Amino acid sequence: MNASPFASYEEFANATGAIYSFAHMPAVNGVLVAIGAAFFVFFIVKSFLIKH
Amino acid sequence: MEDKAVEFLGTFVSESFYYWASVLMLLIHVGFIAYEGGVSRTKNVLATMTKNLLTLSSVGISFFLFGFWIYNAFPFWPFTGPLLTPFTNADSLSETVAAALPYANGALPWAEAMGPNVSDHMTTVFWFAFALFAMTTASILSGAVIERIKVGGYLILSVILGSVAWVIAAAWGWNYWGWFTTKLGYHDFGCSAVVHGVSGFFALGVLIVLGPRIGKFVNGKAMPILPHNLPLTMVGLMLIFVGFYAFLAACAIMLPGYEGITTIYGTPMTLSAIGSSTTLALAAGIMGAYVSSKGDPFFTISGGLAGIITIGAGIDLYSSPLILVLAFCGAYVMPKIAVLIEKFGIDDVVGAFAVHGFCGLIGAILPGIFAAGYIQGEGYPPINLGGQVLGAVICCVLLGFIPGYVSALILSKFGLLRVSREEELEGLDIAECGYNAYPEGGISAVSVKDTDPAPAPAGIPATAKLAGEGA
Repeated sequence: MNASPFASYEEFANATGAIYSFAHMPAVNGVLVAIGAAFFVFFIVKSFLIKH
Repeated sequence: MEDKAVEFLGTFVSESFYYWASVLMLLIHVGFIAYEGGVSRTKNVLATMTKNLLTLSSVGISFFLFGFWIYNAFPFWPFTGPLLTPFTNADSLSETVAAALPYANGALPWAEAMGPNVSDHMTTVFWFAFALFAMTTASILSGAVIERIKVGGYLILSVILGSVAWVIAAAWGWNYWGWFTTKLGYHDFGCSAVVHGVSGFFALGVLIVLGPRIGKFVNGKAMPILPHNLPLTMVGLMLIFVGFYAFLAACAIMLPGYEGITTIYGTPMTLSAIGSSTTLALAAGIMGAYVSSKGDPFFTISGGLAGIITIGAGIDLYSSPLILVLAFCGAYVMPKIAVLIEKFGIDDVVGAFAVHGFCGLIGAILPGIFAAGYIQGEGYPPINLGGQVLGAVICCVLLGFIPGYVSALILSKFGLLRVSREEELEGLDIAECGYNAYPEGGISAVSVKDTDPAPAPAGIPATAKLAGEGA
C-alpha cells in the first residue's frame, strides 16, 4: 500500500494542495474519521463507568 | 537598499523564529523539574529538582564543547562519506560532502560562527535550539532514576546521552545529509526515535543496572510509592506540552531566502498543520490513556505526551483523522507497557520507558506504514517499513539501550552510580542539599511554648535555625 499521493520526489517537492498521506484515497480518511469518532464516544461512555 | 532591507527581514524572521521557539522550549525543563519534583517523596524533592536543573549545565556545556560538532560531523559516516574533522581536506571530498564541511567546522567551539558574527545570524541560534533539544533528552533520563542515583553519576550519564548518543542518532536520522534518509529512506520529523526512543531505551539500560528504590519491591511484588505532590506533576506536564509545541515548531526549517517551510529533509510542510496535529495528538493521547488506565491521573496526563510522541515522526505527513487514531492507540498501550516493565522488577519512577522509549520506537516505525512511498530526495529510497524499523532499532538499541547499560555498568563498578543505603533511607535532600524542601512541616510538629524552646528539628536549614533563635 502506497500512502503517498506522489509518484516522484519532483512531484512531492513542487506539490500544490494537500500533501498528507492518503490524500489520493479520500475513503481512507472517511474511515479514520469514523474510528476517531468511535474512540471519542468510547471515552465519553467510559467516563461514566470508571469508579474506584 | 530596498533589496537589502527585504533580505535582512528574511534573515530576521528566521533568526527570531528559532530564538523564540528555543526560549519556549525551556518550558520543557520547567515542566520536567515540576514533574519530577512532584513525583518524588518529600525527603527527595530538592535533590530531585536540583539534579534536573544541573542538566542545563552538564548538557549545555558539553553540547557546546563537542555535541554540536558531532551533529555536523557525523551525517555521512560510516556509509556515505568520512567523518568531518578540522583536518579533513575539502579537495578530497565529493561535492555533496564538501558542502557539509563548513557546517562541521563552523560548529567547533572556537569557530568564528560560534559567537557574535554579523555575516552569520543562524549558526548560534541553531546551536541554541539544538542545545535545548539535547537537554530534553537528558531530562527524560533524569525522571526515571530519581531517589537513588548519585548526582555525579547522573551528570556523566546526561553528558553521554545528551551530547553524544542522541546527537549521533540525529546526525544519521535527523539531518539533511544523514545516511538513514539517503540510504534507507528514513523519516522522523518530530524525533520520535532520534530523541524519545534513544532517551527511553537509554533510561531502560541505566535502570536495569541501577536497580529499584528500597521498598519498591517486596518479595518480588511491586509496591506503590506514591508521588508527594501529584498536582505539581500535572502542572509540570502541562508546561512540557507547551514546550513541545515549540520543540515541534523548531523542527521546521525556514532559512533566509527560502520560498517555503521545509522539514529537515528538505520536503514541504506547513507550520499550521504542526499546531493542529499536536493539539489533536495531545487530546487523543489524554483520552486513550484515561480509558486505558481507568482514570489514573498520572497516566492520563502522561498520555498527552505519549500521543504526541507516537505521531511525532510523521506529524508533517499525517492527516488529522490519522493523527487522532494513532495518538489514541499509542497512549492507550502506554500504561500497559509501564505496568509490564514493573513486572520485570524495573523501577521506572516516571514511566520514561513507556512514554518515550516505547512510544518513540512505535512512533518511528509508523511512517513505514502510514507515510510509505514519499520520496525525500532525488535518488533516495521512498519511506518504507524496513527503513523505518532499521533506523528506529539502531536509535533505540545501538544508540540508546547499549550505551545506557554499559555506561551505567562502568559507573556502578567504580561505585559512582548509586547512593548508599543510609542516604537513600534518610532522603537525598539531607545528604545532597543539607535541608528539606518543607521545613515548616517540621516546625509545625513542635509545640509552640513561651518557655524552653525545643531544639530545631533536623532538616531545617541553618538560616531558619538562626532566624528562630533571633525571634
